[in-house]
Amino acid sequence: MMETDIRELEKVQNAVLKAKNIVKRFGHVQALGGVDFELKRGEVVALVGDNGAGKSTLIKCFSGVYQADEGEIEIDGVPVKINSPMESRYYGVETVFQDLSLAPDVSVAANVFLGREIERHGILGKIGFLDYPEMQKRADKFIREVGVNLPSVEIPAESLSGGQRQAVAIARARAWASKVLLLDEPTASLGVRQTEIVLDIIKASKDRGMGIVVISHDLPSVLKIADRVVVLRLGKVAGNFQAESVTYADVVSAMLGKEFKA
Amino acid sequence: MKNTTTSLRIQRLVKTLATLHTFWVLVILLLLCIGFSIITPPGTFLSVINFKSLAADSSQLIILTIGAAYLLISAGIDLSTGSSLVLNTVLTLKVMIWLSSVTSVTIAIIFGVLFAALFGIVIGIINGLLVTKLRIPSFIATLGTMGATLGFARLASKGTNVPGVPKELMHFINTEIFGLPLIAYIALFLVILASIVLKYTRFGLHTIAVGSNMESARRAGIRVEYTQIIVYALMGLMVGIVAIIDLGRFGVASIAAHTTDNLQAIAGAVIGGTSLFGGRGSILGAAVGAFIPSVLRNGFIILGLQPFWQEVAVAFVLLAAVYFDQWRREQMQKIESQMSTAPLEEPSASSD
Repeated sequence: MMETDIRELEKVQNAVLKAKNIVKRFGHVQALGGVDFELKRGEVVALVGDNGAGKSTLIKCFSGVYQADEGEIEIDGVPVKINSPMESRYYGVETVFQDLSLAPDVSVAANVFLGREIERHGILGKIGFLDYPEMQKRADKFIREVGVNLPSVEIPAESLSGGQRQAVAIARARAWASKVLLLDEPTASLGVRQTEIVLDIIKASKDRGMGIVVISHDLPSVLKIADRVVVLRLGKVAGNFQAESVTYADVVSAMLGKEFKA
Repeated sequence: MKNTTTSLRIQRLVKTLATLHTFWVLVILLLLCIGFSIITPPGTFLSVINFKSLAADSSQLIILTIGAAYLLISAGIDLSTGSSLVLNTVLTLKVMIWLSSVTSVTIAIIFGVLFAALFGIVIGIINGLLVTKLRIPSFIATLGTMGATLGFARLASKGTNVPGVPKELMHFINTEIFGLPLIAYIALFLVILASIVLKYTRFGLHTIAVGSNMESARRAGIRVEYTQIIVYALMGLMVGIVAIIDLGRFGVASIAAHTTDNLQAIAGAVIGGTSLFGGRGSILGAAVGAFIPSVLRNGFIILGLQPFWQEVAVAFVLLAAVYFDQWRREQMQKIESQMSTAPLEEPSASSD
């Protein structure tokens, strides 16, 4: 009994991202109706639910794109207000948005460093000159680290294939995230082998102690790597399962709103 | 493997298209010059004097085109350029005349130049605030300031040209160095500076990113509104510089001139390969593109045609350039959708 208590305590202490009673309204529509959410270090949580269940809205509340109307968010046990994407990144939270959030005309390297460019040394750097060779070198390394080879990081993002763009967006988030990685449909529009690469990236990041939230419609793939499955339905948590013991039927019935009984 | 070569071919295509574009503009420019040289009387179009006048005319437009190109790259547009230029010349000249009546001419000119630059920047910031803070589409916002500045210019000048530019300013602006007008050097300097800033600085990158995908730029932590306002202010600064040059060249604040400068500057930028949809453009290309309206005007005047024909011609050239830009985008999208199944990994052996 004592042992379980300590283990419970440890788990709470290890929560890298914790949200209580998150409410988000758009006019009269309530997108999130009081969501509690917890993510531990080195844990992969699959966030699933039907269209409009509030998955992307919840993630956007964590990444600062939206601000929750009610509720509290803690990162590493510290209560925070996340008012902008800048602030979430400051707390070590990185997001791969569903639209990938790349500037198509900008080079891959500049996309990876957009908003946190490396300046040149000396006086030129002070007046805003950027160290493109250094950014290219590091961007190339970031992208290689996720197991992808691009012909060049100097080409504009729009000349990449869909899978390559996804890889760039994920490599960028992974490189900058220190605590939490939020992935909104990272395997959408990817082939089987490309999906495998993305799942490997998630596993590797988990092993580095990152807390990871994955939104995905691809239940079979996501169950391979998830520790826990959280089901949202109509803006509320409709199920919270350990991945090892859950079945598709459990998840689907929670998504559809049938009462789940263990 | 097939997909790999496709992807590499596309990159080459993009590169060649980009370099080809400026090349073709240069070819068209050359053809125009040759054409005008043949059909105009000998010693008119093809003469040292005309070449100098052309360089001076083009320089003014090139400076405006730099601002227009930056704006288009940031997915903005400024239709007020010509009108605010007229207002700027009228007010600056009034300031200079008043100052030279109370102090020395030198001080009047110095403060006149500062006033022109500052007033241009203020108009630019107003445009920027209308677009970012009041969220008025840039097309309508600057259409509004276009009307307002022209109205104010007519009010301030009582509807007539204002004479009385200090001779010293005229002498200075019309200086020649190594046979070329001083303002050609000013334009060249600004083109090089603007080109470097766009390519190598944070501000340049942010300008491109904002125009390429505003939402992505915002999520990346770029101060989108701030960047937009600065770009509008930059356009205003260019207007201020051109106002001084214009006063110095013609000795008068002309109320009827510059009405189509906005269109010509946008045309120059678009002809030079800057996209109307933001994110893409070259200052060097824009500068080359700006020669086309200038050469057309110059040639038409020498031919004895009504200079208004130039406006018609520039309008058609602008439409053609925008159509070409759109066509190019569509081609790119077609290529993109074809390669959406390309592999995630490029075999490293194939990269060159």
